[in-house]
Amino acid sequence: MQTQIEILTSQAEGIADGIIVKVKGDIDSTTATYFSDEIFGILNNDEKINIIVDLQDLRYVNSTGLGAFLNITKSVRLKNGVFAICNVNDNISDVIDIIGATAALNIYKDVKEALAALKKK
Amino acid sequence: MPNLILSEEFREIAFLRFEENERFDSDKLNDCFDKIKKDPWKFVIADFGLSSEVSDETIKEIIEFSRVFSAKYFGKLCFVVRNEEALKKINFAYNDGFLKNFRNTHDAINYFYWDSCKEREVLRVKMPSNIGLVPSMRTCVNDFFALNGIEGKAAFQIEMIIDELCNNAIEHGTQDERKTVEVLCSINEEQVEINVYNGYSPRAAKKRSGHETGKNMEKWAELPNRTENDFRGRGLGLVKTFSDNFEINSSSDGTWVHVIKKR
Repeated sequence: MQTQIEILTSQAEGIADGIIVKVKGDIDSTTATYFSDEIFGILNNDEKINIIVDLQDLRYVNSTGLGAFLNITKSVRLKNGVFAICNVNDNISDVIDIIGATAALNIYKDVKEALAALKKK
Repeated sequence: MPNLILSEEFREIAFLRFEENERFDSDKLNDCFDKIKKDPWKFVIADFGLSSEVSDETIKEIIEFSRVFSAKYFGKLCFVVRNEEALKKINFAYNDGFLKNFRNTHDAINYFYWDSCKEREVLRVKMPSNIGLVPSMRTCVNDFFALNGIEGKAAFQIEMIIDELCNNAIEHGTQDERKTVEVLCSINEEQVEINVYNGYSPRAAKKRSGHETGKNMEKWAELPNRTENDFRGRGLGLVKTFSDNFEINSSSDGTWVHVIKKR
């Protein structure tokens, strides 16, 4: 009885090798691997190295999920890309801050801000 | 038209039932409010059910009534709203002030009796040691605490406490489905208490030497150095951060984690 997670992708306009990933549901110990696999699939198979993850519909994430975010950030950086997250709700933002990951993640207010930042790079 | 119903079974409770796509009728609504104020009903359930059309005027009148009802008559009003759009509308109108909503009248009635009696509510759940079942455990515990008035940031933090402790009990304890993880939660007006066991035996803890017991296990809960390379080991640190009291006990048979979170 795992939680459900839905992942939808769309083209990131104006960003070379860019993609927007929208996540809906919970990223916990039962779904974190699926989430990681999907992102690494985008990174390695589709060769999209600039990835913006829209977390507006992400209800909950635990330490396993946040570990996945950090792992992906590092892997994308090694390919000279950017892994960005945006629309983070207050509860999740607090948790990211508590574990000291705010500086390690690329966090933006919304998709528009993330796109603008990536276009500058 | 809103219907005011007084159940013969629940004499202290009045049901204010709204029909689907009901038109706002100030006179009828105020008639209901006047009847409620005149009779000794202490708990009003505004039941919108699955209705999606809730007028702004109706919400405004109910908010005003609930404030007067609470301040002058020491009564309480809660909602039963199952339609998400209607709930958002009501929540916005309350502007993050007092709002209790339940998915059905049965839960609302349970809350009333709990609130009246001020007794400690207890939930005890046991599950096989299977990580795939942890989300169900979380849902069960979430619903229990929501029914007892825990919401918002506190609800999120408690969900995380349960999730991280259960995950740890399974990942670092045993992944044998013949074994079990047990969660015991209780709540009163002062605090929430959470216990997670994965086979811990106090007798085994006392009898056998050479096994760590007591609060010296809390070193596991220290957050690791904050570098992006430390991807794991943060769960218990989060639990400790969200708790007001945190204790880990271990025996040869398993571990018991005890958390208190003040309201």
